[in-house]
Amino acid sequence: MFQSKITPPEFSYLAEKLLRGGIAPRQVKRTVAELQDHYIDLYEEAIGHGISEEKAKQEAHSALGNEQDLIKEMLSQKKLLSWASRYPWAIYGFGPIFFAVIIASAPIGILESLLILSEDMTIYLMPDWMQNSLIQHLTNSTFFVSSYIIPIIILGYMCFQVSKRRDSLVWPIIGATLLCVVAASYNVNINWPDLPGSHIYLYGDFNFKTMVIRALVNVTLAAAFIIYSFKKYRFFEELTDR
Amino acid sequence: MSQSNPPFMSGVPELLALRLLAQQEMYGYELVKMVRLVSEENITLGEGVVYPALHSLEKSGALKSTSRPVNGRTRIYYSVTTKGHRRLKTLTEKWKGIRDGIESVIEGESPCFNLK
Repeated sequence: MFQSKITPPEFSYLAEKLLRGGIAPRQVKRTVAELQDHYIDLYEEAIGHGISEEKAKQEAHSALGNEQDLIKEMLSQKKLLSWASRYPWAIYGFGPIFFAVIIASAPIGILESLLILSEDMTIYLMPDWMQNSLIQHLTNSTFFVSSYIIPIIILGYMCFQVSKRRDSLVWPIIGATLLCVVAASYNVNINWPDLPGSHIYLYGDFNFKTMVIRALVNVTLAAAFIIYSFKKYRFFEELTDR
Repeated sequence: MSQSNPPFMSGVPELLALRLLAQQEMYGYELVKMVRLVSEENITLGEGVVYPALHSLEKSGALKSTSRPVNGRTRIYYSVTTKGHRRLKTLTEKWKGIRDGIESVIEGESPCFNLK
């Protein structure tokens, strides 16, 4: 078999239709790669029979089949749909809050462990004013990371995935709203080193005005990700049917 | 423009793919050629349509795939798993039943032909 000099078609229309139909991006990429490889094989076979290059390309296209049939066949295989298109309420609706809790628990858990380990040492080594200042900084940092940084990262990642997969915006908007409201509705305090028990505790802070401001800050800071993602993947571009 | 598979042919790509891949592992193009050869040109699939069937079978655990570099390109080879062999057996029995039923109708052996 000789090396092919041909560049196969990109199948970009097919790829876009499959993404919008709910097929996972990785699956789409693989399908396109296999179709391109198949196209080259068909082309080389035709060239090997002495057919002209132009005719060989046409034959390869024709043998691969109608793109609409391919799209229809692919979308009829429910197993190939992504989890996000099958269960958008779980992935985009409640997933962001679930992951925010998991991710925020890690630094809080690490901090709690550090406070437990260090309290005996610092009581004797640090003066009161330094302990209070440290507690204040730790409280602010924990609050800032769990209320702003983590939700913004999750929101940004979700937007990136939605635009990459061309998924519907309904559940992501619901999920983003829930996440911003939950992230805006609690506060953090640290008691250390004198009081027994857990050092870090979270409590509800349901001042409506504060919640709205905090939620808006999250959305605004995540807006850069949102705009970038939608532009990069041409999310709102209309696809002309062939 | 290649012909589409008529609705009655749904399930045929799956059966053919499993049957041929049970003999040896192949990649998509090779499999389509083998279908044409073994069926003596009686069955011609739109060649691209074989991939949704292969991917679906892989997702359900009936096939496994391996990537290999060949002549500077990456080819994906498919082979049948134990679960795939069981699926093949089930599909073969089902299609044999359909074939026998069709033969009965065509050859007029069904009791219905004697009813007037």
